Amino acid sequence: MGVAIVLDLSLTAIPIVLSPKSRPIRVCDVLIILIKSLGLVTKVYKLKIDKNTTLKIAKLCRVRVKEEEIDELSIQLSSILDWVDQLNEVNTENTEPLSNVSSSTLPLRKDEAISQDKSKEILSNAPENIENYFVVPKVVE
Amino acid sequence: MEFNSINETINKLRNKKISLKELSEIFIKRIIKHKDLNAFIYFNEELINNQVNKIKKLDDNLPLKGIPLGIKDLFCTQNMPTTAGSKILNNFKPTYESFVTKKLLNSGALFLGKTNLDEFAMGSSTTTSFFGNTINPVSKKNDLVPGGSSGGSAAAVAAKLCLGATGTDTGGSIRQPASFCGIVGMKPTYGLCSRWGIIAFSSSLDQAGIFANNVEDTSILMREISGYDANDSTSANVKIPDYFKNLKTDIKDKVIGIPKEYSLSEIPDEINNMWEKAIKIFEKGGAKIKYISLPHTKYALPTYYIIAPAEASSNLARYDGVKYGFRSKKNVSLDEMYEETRSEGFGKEVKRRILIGTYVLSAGYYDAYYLKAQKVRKLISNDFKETFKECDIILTPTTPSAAFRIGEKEDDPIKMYLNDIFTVPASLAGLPGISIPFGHTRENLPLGVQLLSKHFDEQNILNAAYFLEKNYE
Repeated sequence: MGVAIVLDLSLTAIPIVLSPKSRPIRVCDVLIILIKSLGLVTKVYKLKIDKNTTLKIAKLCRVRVKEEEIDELSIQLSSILDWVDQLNEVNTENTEPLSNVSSSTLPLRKDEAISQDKSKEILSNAPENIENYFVVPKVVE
Repeated sequence: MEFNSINETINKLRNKKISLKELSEIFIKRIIKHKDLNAFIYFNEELINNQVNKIKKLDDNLPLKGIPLGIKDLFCTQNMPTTAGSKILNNFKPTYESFVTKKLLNSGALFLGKTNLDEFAMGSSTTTSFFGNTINPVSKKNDLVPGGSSGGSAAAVAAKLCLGATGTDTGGSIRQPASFCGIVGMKPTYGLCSRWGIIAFSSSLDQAGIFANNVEDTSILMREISGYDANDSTSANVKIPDYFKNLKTDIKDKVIGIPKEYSLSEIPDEINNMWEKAIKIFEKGGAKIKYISLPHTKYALPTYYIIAPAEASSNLARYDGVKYGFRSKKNVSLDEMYEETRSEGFGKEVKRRILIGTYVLSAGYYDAYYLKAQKVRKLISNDFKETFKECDIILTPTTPSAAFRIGEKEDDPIKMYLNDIFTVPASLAGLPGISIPFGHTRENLPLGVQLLSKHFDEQNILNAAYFLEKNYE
């Protein structure tokens, strides 16, 4: 996987993506040294999430990302992940993960079937339905 | 006749000083007059009149008979559409009533409409709604945000368009807008009222709560919405006291904890001064002040911004354009239909959080992000547990600033997230919290203080808030 390089000209300005396209990591390292030697910028860092990763995640969660949105999204996602990285300062070696915050005992109910026929109302919410079915685009040719 | 509080209006209705019909007409007029605030995104006069006719026939002793309320559009309601402020739920008609709204209806409440929110409750400004932003009624030039995500409810209560409103709080979505709008907002303990019928954002954090103009009204509404429900597996089966009847301003010998980690150099003086003032008032009333430490406070926000998007990406997977809501009109294959629908149906911030959530849950990253965040969450929760061994209430500012301008912080997600710096830690620990109005900035914008307590200790919070409200000078 490659990385993208971002130029941060000031703390407030939107960073400039120098190489939004994926490049081999070593090429990036050389580029960063070159840019830093020019002494013009305050910060140069590798994006945690480059264009390809953004596209891959987008595919996983079935959200189409427009071509013109990819760079901005990659920067924003990377900066959010950089920011949450501070959690690595915390020693959690002997800590159990907390998945339920409730301090009361969660009550159990009897496992009984309850019948409520709401299929008509439920189907009426569908963008498209025929008889008792949800309709989706054709999947078999 | 003035109608500023629920308690007083209940008495006026019971003593026949005003009829249900007349009362509803006053509020309908107010909502129409203040349409520019965009507090309500569903409002239907005919529906209100029909409700009034039904409520008339109900038992006169119902605790909320005829009381006009606003409902955050995240609660499923059978007689009003439910959108979560998103295009993707356009035209969705729930087939069942949420637990909280059902309880309110059973108590005789009158629903005036559905209030605006950040899309899927993701935001701190009520500017990400598909139905446009809500304006904070305290702003003179209509240019300030009401906070969020329950900004429509907060604005509606502050502008007296209703006497109370429901909200939901995942990381501060009740307490922050209450502070920005100068009203009371309370988020109870995680599990105190069922999440049944609340459109899910982050299930381990989401909690329903209340907006009102004063602590008495808050305690009345809290009593009405709380209770066990078998439909929510995290709903707690605890006895709900009559918070209103038990209200008292006596805080003698209560120990008030002041966490040093909430004192930040970036916070404006006027906020720290207000905090200082609240401490003095408690001291004067006979409470003991104890300076405490919650060492993992600084990690609460990054923890939250892993856990909440992770759970959101999973919860929002159900919006596929098949079962309900919006479907892309493009003529494409099934797989492309999902992508087009979700791409057109969700707004920017929601998509950003789904992407982050998907990334932190994806193969190879789960342990590094999600599991790590859950472990830090445990440490944050332990901090509070330790602290509550030596104090009854924790007192902090609610927000790091007063209401900001619409459009501000829009380009920088992290800056926006910092709004919740004082509210998120308690959310992660599932603690109850309240924000009550406390003073103003030099520009005369409202500020708020936050009171927290241990699980299921809502009465203690309400009493301390009641004391502070009565003794504010």
